[in-house]
Amino acid sequence: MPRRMMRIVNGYLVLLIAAPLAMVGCDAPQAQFSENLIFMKLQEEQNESFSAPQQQAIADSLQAMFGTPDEPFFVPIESLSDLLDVRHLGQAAGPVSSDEYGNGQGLFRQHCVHCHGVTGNGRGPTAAFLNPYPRDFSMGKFKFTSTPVGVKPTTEDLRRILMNGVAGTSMPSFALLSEGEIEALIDYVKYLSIRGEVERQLMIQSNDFDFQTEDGAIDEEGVASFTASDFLVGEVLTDVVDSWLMAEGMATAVPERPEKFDRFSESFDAAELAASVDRGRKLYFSNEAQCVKCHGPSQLGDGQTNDYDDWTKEFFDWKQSDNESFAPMMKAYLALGGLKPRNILPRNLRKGVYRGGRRPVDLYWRIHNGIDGSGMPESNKAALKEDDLWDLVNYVLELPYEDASRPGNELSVNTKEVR
Amino acid sequence: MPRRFVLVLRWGFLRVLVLSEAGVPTDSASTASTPSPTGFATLRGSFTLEGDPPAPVVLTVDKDANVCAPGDKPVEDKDFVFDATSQGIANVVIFVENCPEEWVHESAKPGNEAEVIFDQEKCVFLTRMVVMQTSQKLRVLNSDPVGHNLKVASFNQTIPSGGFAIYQPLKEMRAPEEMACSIHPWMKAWMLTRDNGYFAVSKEDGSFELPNLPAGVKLDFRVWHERSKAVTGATIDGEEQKWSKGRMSHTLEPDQDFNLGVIKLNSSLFN
Repeated sequence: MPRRMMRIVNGYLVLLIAAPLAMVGCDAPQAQFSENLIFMKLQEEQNESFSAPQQQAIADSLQAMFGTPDEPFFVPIESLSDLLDVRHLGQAAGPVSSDEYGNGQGLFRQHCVHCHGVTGNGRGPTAAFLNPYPRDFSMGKFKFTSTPVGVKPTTEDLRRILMNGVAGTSMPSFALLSEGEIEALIDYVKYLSIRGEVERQLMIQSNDFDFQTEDGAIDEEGVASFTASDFLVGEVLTDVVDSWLMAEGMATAVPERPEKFDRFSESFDAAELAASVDRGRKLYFSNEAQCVKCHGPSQLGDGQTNDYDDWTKEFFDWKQSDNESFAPMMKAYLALGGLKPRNILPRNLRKGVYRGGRRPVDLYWRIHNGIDGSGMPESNKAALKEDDLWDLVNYVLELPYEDASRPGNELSVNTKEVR
Repeated sequence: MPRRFVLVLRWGFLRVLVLSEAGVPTDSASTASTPSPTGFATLRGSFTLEGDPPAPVVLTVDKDANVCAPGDKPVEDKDFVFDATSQGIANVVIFVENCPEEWVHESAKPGNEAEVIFDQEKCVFLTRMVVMQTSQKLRVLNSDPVGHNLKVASFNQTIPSGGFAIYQPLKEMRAPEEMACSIHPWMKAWMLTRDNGYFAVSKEDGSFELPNLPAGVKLDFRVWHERSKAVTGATIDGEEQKWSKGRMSHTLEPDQDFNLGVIKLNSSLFN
């Protein structure tokens, strides 16, 4: 570490840090993106310790590709205009201010940073007090999307979250912001997420490069091949950007909900809806849908409650929690700013609070696609068809009104006799 | 000519040059004479343990115990499969990392579409280490009387008892990724997808075989095990090998049947 500090002090970075500071005064520390030390620790556990030049090369590369929280930057790649509007980054980033017409600057720091943090790693100052914790964008995973598991959200998905908030969590609605401000924030979230994912990729892939010669000197050739834009932009960045561009066309198309189920439609048929709800209830307990496994026989979300989400599991192997190496790892994780792990809980379906939205189409997406990063799987495509999914949606929408003492189904898969 | 790419970025009033051109002098080395294979060869060997095997991990089975832990017997994790007779370590993965498609033998070409079967019984994934080509499909079965789901990479689907699901990977993986079941979170397996077919998983006795490898070119092999992740070293014929990041390199002769023999892996790797 001291060697690295020396390098920074000796290097040109001192100019970068000192010059703007001189302009704003000593009491306003310049906002910095923080290094993903937790992910680095994870890489070190699996490979070897990062050398000082390796860490420096990653930091330099990130700064070159993304700039700083006050002056964000995006490498002018060909597909950039399909991805985001760079002007939005300037509007969303930087310190909070407004011009004479009231146009806001620094939107992210005004509205988002307390929870999501300057780096977008979900570890802002209030994060530890919230349940659930704010989203860490850097993994490139988002829960409430219209796209299948493993695919990025569409722009519309991000807009919906910003406009509606996430019911049942601390994420509020930002519907009072102007359309332009929402657009700016959407693009800034993409930017932070891409930056975070690129950082992870650089940490992983830096394991394939040599940064030090055998006598401990800096391997200039190795550093140069790592920081070459053919690699940084041509391979790493393009890969992440492509995954965002690809998502736009991958929203799961939801067939029109049959009008007979719609209370506000002229063709509404109460008997049909009741029959569908009944079928949905049977499916809930069935082997084909298996909702009961996690959401529980009384639909209170008390089935499987011992799992953790992907953001937590990335760092820990919970099966090793009795192993002697586990406690020191946990200590290291918390010392690096990690938030105390909590179990991920299946939703209590009797509350009528749906994080990803309460429209039938939102529930259809949840059931059809699952929820990325959580334990919620997508429906089995061989066993459940479109009509079955609508039955499930109808049942879930009806659940908050169902008598809680209504006995469960005949025999749930949990209690089936075993040979 | 190598592509030259210099990017000048602006921060405030400062101009800083950070991204450099590809720094390696490429003219003579890579562009002039791209090596091409002179034939095909086989690499084999056998991973064995040096020292004591790690203590088995007892799993916390707190769901569907009648199926997953019949008779209330403690269930041990199969994260280290070790055969005391041969000292062999199973489920060590070895794969070729650098192999342009034109080097690949007919039998290992990308595009293989054979389905890979992946089943589960008593809440145990029957294959602990799944390696397949990206073009292959994984047919996930469920022989348990209870439902499961399978979560891996870009896939998370429920598998009804007696049902199935099909997973088509999106892309090649650089290292194995975890397979899990959210309903029974103690269940675990690993998956690696590679574009070409140059991969092997060690058998019960620790042995592996990689046939039809391109000869006459330097191949980088990666060695991986779920407890150690990258296998960073071994002892072969009494000689210590340091495999930085789990990587070893060999250049094989045409038609050679190269046997690395007994590859001893120290137990400290697996603790």
